[in-house]
Amino acid sequence: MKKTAAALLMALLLILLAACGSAPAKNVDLPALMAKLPLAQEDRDEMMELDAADLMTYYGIAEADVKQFAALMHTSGIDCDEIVLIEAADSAAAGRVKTALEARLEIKKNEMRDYLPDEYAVIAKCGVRQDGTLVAMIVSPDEKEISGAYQEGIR
Amino acid sequence: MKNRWLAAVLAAVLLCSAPAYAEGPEETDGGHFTGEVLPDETDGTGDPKISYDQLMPRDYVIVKDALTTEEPLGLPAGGRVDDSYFDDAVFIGDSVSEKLNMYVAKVRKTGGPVLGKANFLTAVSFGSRNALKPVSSGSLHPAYNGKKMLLEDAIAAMGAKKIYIMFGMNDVQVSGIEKSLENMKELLRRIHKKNPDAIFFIESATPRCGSGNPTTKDLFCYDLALYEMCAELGEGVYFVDVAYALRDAKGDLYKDCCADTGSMALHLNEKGCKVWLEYLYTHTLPEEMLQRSK
Repeated sequence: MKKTAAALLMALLLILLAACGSAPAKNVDLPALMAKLPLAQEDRDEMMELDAADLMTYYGIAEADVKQFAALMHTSGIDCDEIVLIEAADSAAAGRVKTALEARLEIKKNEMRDYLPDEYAVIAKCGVRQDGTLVAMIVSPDEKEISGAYQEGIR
Repeated sequence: MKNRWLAAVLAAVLLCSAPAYAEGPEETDGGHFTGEVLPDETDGTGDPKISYDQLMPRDYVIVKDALTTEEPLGLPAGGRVDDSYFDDAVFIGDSVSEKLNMYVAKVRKTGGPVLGKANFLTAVSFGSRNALKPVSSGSLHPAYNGKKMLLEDAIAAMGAKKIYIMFGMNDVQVSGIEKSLENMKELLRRIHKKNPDAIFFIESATPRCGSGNPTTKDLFCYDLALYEMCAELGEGVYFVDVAYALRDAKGDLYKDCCADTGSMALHLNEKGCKVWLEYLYTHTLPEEMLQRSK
């Protein structure tokens, strides 16, 4: 009896822990979070805010797959900085968004690999992360710091 | 006139110390690439229509001790067109054009319009050489709506009719001028096959304002040879000498138009983009030629 109860409690504990780990905080305001990310103002000034149509143009992400988003792209043409934060409509959409952003990352790597090795080195350290229906691609020389702030912001 | 043209050609050959492209015009199954210069026609009233030769004259003069011509090559200056002229245009290029892509996107967001509804197919380190390769996970083909595809397929998907292409920077240094032109001709052939109504506007490769490979001289020689290639291909292929507008008296890129004077010395800043855009708006194909090309 005691063993059964202990096993049930353990199972319940594991379920609760798993739920806490995978479910992002509710009511995350991505545009507000983007505004708070530790980007230098001079970098922000060089970046362009993307709109819903741009998500299709640059990433092939359908509007219907997106609940909310915030995205910045460097406008120099040769700087790799790009930050895309998306809350997908559902888990299936989140999978599609993740695939699309990973494809974008590969394109950026291919472009810079031989042309601008310093930019390639930056991109190579970056990736796409998914937290439930939240998907983020953070490409920046300050990726570690920015990603840390992002993860804090979605908890 | 004839002596002047011969002198210009001789000067170009001596200056560049390399043959221009080897082959003559290439025939296709379409109507555009016959290499023939269309005879002057009249519009029935006795008034001559504009001929291809008038838009793409074969004589030009290279400025002494400089890497530029006295006048821009290809499409002459005309009135400023309306934005709608570019609605069915696509701009294809490398990192130089990528900056124009980003600048246009930025301006469109803050009021625009600019270049109408024109699309862009640009990728850093792109060129005619790698445009001919098959699409793969490692290829450089630009994505259209997030999907990487061959240029001819992307153009067909977006329904573009005016195809602007600026390549050279990533071709000349790898393949040399002659092979780069062969690749360009093959690329035009493939695009034309899939998009028979398309009109080509080949833009000259812009110069640089510092050292590097290819040099400004390499790019200028490439531009001259590219112009000759376009003129031989004939109606349906026009030259837009954007580089002319961005060259200083010596033929280098204007420093105040360059975004990376301290490094690669070839990418444009916003001022450079504005110069480029102004050139595009004022060096266009007359309406009657657009109609004839349909």
